Amino acid sequence: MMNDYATVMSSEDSSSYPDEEDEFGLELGLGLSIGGSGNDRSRIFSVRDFTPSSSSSSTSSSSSSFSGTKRRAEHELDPEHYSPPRRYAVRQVIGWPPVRTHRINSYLKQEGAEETAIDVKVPKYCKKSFFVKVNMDGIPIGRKVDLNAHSCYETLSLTLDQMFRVASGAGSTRINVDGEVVMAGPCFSLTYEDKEGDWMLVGDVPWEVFLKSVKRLRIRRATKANCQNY
Amino acid sequence: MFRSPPSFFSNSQIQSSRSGYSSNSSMAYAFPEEVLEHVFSFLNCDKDRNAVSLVCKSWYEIERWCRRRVFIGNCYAASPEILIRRFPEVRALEMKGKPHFADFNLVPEGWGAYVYPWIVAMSASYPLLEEIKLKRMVVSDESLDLISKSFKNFRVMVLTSCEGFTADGLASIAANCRNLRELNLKESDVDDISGHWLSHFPDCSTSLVSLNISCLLSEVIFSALERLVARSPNLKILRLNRSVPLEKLPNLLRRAPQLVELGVGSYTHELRNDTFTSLASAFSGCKQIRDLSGFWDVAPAYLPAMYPLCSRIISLNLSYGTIESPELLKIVSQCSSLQRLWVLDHIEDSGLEAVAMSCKDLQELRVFPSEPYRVEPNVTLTEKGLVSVSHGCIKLKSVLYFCRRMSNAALVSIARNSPNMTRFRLCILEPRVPDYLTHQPLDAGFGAIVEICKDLQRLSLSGLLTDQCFKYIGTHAKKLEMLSIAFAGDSDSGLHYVLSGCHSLRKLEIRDSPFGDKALLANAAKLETMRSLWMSNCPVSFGACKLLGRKMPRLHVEVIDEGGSPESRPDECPVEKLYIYRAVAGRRDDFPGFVWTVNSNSPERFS
Repeated sequence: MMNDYATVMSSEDSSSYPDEEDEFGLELGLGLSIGGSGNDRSRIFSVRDFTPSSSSSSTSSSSSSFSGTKRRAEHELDPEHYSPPRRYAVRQVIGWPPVRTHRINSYLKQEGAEETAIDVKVPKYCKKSFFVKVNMDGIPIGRKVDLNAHSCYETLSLTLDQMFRVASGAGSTRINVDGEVVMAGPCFSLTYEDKEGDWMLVGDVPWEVFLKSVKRLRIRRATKANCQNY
Repeated sequence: MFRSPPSFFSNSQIQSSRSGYSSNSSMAYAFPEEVLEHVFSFLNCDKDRNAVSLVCKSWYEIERWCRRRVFIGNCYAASPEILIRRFPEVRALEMKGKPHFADFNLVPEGWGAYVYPWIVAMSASYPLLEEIKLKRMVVSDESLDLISKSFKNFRVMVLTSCEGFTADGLASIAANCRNLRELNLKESDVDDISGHWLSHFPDCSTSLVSLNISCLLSEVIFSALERLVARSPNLKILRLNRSVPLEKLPNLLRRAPQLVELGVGSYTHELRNDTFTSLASAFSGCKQIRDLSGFWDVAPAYLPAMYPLCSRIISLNLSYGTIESPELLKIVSQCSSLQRLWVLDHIEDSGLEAVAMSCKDLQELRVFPSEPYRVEPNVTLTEKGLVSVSHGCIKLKSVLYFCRRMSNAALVSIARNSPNMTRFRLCILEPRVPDYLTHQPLDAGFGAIVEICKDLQRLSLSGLLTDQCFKYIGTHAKKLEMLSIAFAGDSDSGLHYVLSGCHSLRKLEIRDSPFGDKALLANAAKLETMRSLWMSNCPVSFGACKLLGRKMPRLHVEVIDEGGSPESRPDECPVEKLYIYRAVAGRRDDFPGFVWTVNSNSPERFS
C-alpha cells in the first residue's frame, strides 16, 4: 500500500562516476540547489523561445512548430522517462526535507537584484504589482513573480531563469552523461494557465494580451521527443 | 483548548449573571467573589485557570468572567460563539489554524483556517480587545480592516505564517489603530501591492514598540519608515525586510539607539570606507541590542562592523544569507553571551566546535541546510558538529539540526551530554538513511534520546527506523507532547507503541509510514486526549476513517483527498491525508471540495 518513491534514492546506491577530479554541476531542473554562486551559463529556456506571433487564431491541436497559432501545452510530464544521475537525485517528494517555503525563498536570488542586459523601463515601485505563482516540475516549492515588473517576455524569461536556476557551486561544469552533453535549456517549456483554465505555451500572444489572460505559470520539463523539435 | 466543555453545565447556569451563581456552595459564603477574583488574577497560565474552573460551579463562573487571555490551539476545536459565551471579557486571543505540515505544502490551498468569522463575532462582543495572535491562519484584508475599526484599544497584532492579506490590510491597521504597540508579520505570506502602507501610520502615532516586516518581499517607502522610527521612542524591536539597503541602515539606527532586537535587511554594498565606518559607528551606538537577525545577501567585508555587538548578543539568526565558514567562526567566537543560534550549515563542524568553546550559555541551536535538495554534501557539516555543541554547551535544551549523516553512537553521546534536552528535531536530508558507520537503523540512538532526556517535550525523527524505535518512545517518552514521524516504522505496532505509551502526547504528525487501521482504531480513545493527529500517505483506509468518525462523537475526522471522492472507491482504499482533531464545536461548514468529514451525526459522508 505504501507508495514507492522511485525517485528517492538511497545514498548507498551512488552510481560510479567517471572522474573525481571533474567538478560536477547539477543538471538543470533536476534539483534546486540553493545558495551557490550561480554563475552557471546554462539557461532554463532561452529568449528565442518566445516569439510573439502577430496572429492569435483559435486554438488548434498542439503542433511542434513555433510560430502561428495559440498552442495548448500538452501535459508532457514524464519524470520516470528521464532518469537523473543518482548523486544529484531530484527530490520529487513534496514537503521533504521539511524546510519552510519562506526560508527557501530567502535563499534564492532576490528577484530583480541583478542587472539584466535588457533595460526594464518602469521601476517596480511605481506600478501596482501583479504577482502570479510559478511552479517548476520536480520542485515542490513554488515562487511568485511580479509580471508588472516586466514589459516583455525577455525580461520575464531572464528573471525566471535566475529564480529557478540551479546553482551548482563555484567553478562547476555541466555533467557529461554517457559522453553526451545534456542540453537542459531547450528541454523546458514555460506554460501558463489562462482564464479559461487551459494551459498554454508562453510567447505566442502579444505581451499585453498575455498579461490579461494569465493566471499562473509553470515550467514544464519536456520529453526527449519534443526536445528535438526545438 | 478548554478542558471542560460548556455542555458540562446547563445553559442557564452559564448565562446567569455574575452575582447569580449557585448558593449551594459554601465557598460562596467563605470567600466573597471579589476576593476569589483577585486571587485568580494571579493565575496567568491556562492550565491553572482550567483547573480552577473545575473546582466547583461558582469558581467556574467567577473564573470565566475574569479570564482575559485565551489560547485556542486549533481554531476548529471551538467556535466564536462558544468562546464568547464562556469568556465574555477577553482582551487577548491567541489562535492556531492549519496543521504544522502545512508549512511544507502538505495541506492543499483552500483547506480553511479563516479568521474572518472570529473577527466578526468578536467585533460585536469584545470591544475592549487588545491583542490578536494568529498562527497558520488565513487572514483577509477585510479581517484586518474590521480589526482596525472595531477595537479602540487594539495594541498587538502578531501574524505568524499567515496568508491571505495584502498591503491594503496593513494600511488599515496602520491608519486606524491609534495605540498600536506591536505589528509582527513573522514569516507570513503577504501579497504586496505597494510599500505605501507604512505612510498610513498617522504622524501622531508614537506608540510602536515592535515592528517586524522581515517577510515582506517588496520595497517599503524608506522615508516613511524612517519617520516612523524617529517618532517612536519606545521602539525596541525592529526587523526590516530584505529590500532595505545596507547604506540606509546607519541613519535608521541613529534614530533608534534604544533598540533591543534588530533585524537588518540586505547586508551588502559596494566596498566603501565611509559606508563601513558609518555602519560601525551606528552599531556601536546601539548599546542595548541583544538580538540580531536578517543578513540576506552578505558582503563579508561588512561583517566586522557588527563585531562590537557580539559579546552582548543573546540571540543570533544568520540563517537567511550565505556567510562562509571562516566568517561565521569569527562571529560566533565573540558571542560569549549567546543563548540562541540559528545558522546555515555553512557553519560546518569546525564552526560548531567554536560555538562549543565560546558560547557556554547556549540553549538553542538550529542549523538549516543551504542546499536541501542536494544529495552530495556541499559543506562539511556532520553529526560531529552537534556532538561538539552538546559536549561544550551544558545548557543546550533545544535542537533543530539538518544534516546528511548520523550514527547511533553520536546520538547516544548527545543524549548523555544533554540530559536536559526538551526539544530535539533531527532531519537527515535523505529519508531512511541508516547509521553511516554500522548501517543499522537509528533505533538505538533515538532510544537513548528518549530514555535519557526525561523532560523531552518535542521530538522529530528521521533516518532508518524500525518499530523498535517506537517501542522505545512509547516506553520512555512520558513527557513527550509533540512527535513528528516521516518515512519510518515497519507496521501498525509502531503507531500502537506511541499511542498507548506516550501519556502526554498532544500532537502527532506522520507522513509516508506504514501505519494503518489497526493501530488507529485500537487507540481511538487516546485521540480524544490529544489536540490532533495528522497522517498523510499512510495506509489508513476510508472505511476506518468512517468508523472512527461514527464511534467518536468528539472527534472530527477529516479526509483530504485531491484524487476525488473516497466514496467512489472501495472502503479498503487508503486515503491521501487524514486530519483528526478533538472539538467541542460542531463540524465546520467552510470546508472545500477536497475535504470529506465524517462524524457521528451523519452516517453518510458530506462533501
